[in-house]
Amino acid sequence: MEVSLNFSGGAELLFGKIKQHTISLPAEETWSMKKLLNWIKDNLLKERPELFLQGDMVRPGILVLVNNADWELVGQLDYLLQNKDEIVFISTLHGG
Amino acid sequence: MCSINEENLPVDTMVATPKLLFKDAVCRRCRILKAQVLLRKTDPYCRDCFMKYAVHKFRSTIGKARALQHNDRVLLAYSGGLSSGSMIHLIKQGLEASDSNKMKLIIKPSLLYIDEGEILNLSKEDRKANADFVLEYAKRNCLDVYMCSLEFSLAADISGVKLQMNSYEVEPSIYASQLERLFGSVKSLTAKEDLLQRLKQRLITLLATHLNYSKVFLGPSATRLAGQLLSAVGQGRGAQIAQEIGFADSRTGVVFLRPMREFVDKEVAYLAHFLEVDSLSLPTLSSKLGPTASIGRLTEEFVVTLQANFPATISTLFRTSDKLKPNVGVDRSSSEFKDDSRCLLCLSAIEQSPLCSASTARSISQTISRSGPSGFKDVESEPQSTNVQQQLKACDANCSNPGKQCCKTMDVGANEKDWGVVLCYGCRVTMEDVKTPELVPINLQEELRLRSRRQMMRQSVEQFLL
Ligand SMILES: [Zn+2]
Ligand SMILES: [Zn+2]
Repeated sequence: MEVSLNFSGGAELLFGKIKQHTISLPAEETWSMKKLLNWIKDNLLKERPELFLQGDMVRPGILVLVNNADWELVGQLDYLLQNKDEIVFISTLHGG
Repeated sequence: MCSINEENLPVDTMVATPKLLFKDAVCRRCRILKAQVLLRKTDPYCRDCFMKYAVHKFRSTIGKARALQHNDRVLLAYSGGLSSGSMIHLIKQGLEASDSNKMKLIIKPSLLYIDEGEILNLSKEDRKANADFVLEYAKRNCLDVYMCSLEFSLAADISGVKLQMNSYEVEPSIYASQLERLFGSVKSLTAKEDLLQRLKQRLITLLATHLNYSKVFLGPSATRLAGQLLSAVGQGRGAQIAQEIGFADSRTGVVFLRPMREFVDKEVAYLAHFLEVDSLSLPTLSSKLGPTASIGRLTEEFVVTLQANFPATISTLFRTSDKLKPNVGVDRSSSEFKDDSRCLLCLSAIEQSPLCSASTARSISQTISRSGPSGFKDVESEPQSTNVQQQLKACDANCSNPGKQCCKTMDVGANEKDWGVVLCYGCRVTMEDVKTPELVPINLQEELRLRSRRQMMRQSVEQFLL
């Protein structure tokens, strides 16, 4: 399963300044957003995980969009990823 | 947030918001399309309706202040960030709107980019790459862009400033190392951030005046400004709040306008996404630092975290601050007097401090704590143990400037303690953390002498007229 991740507004600074990532996840498992965030933390996040995640959640001040819709409208942590999904993380924090 | 409401509100609005109430919701405006945006935790909108709402809000923020005239030349300060980037997109849309449409914006904008790379420790290559991003952005939007480096804020006047248009080279200058030394000598991050803001304001004013632009658009969002509001209070700039975070700031002679001030950061992020605004990966002074690194960082953290659960946070802060008006106690006609009562660094009115003001209280308690038990006796008899206070006593009762510096002691040598004549309280606090104040582009000693002399002259004229 292929998923596109985009980090912007300063969030990319925590990911080696790379904004666009395309990742492939094993399709035989089900992938919730919660699981994806953990995967990002273990595989992509380069430094200071607390500036991206707060507990299981994305830190306040970082907007998450799933296929151009606010993730709060599609189930947030419980949303189940589908092939070719586009996930966008936009940080609006000054000290990000 | 407010304790009065506690009993009237249903319990669940006071705790963290109920999750996923709006899963697969329909737009509440058109009631047809699927919602893509969730505002204030309760208002789902589709993309089209959100954009209409945002454009309308942007135009009405500018329109209701009646700050712009037809064909005004406006400098758009562009940082490379999402908020100023979205601002420029919205302005472009306004310029291109059809004539019949009331939403048409008739101004003549250019971009202004200030390269802060020197104090962010960016390499020359990084600074060049950032500048190229900005140049490309300007080109795509068919706008001219003026480019200047922050170190030129230290230049005495415009003749020392290297300003480039539609191109950018990082060139070594004497000011670069001066700026580096200056920031290296600042003890706290809070003071650094404040100094950066003042220097940037100074440079933009210098450039706008030189280029004959009377108005400058700045891009901070409501969230950023709400944080700055709390920082301003924390840093003793309470009297300047109306100017620091209001729509218009006219302290410097150039009018700074903040058309993004009605958008919270979530709205800015939606806007940037839908308008496909790309942003520069710019670090800030507090990047990757914890929430307690500076007052500014702490207040941002506070506002953002509170806003996440209580969407009324920012509008409550704004409603409160909009009621605060600057207390302009100076109404003498002489413009010279007005200049003399302005802070050299931020150009705010310097608050006159009567003997019982909060800043006097602070200075007394500071003197007492610093002098320790042994020094306490002296302090008791002379609360402000500076030479000002001592000589105030020597002055006869006719002193026309009681409570401040005595008329007869005006020409005594200036030292750090006398900054009150040339700096506002907030800037004094910042300058106390600057170990090398001589590197700041304002000649404190010289200005202090000039101001004292002018004041004496005014006083003798007043006496003569009486
Ligand atoms: Zn709609
Ligand atoms: Zn000041």
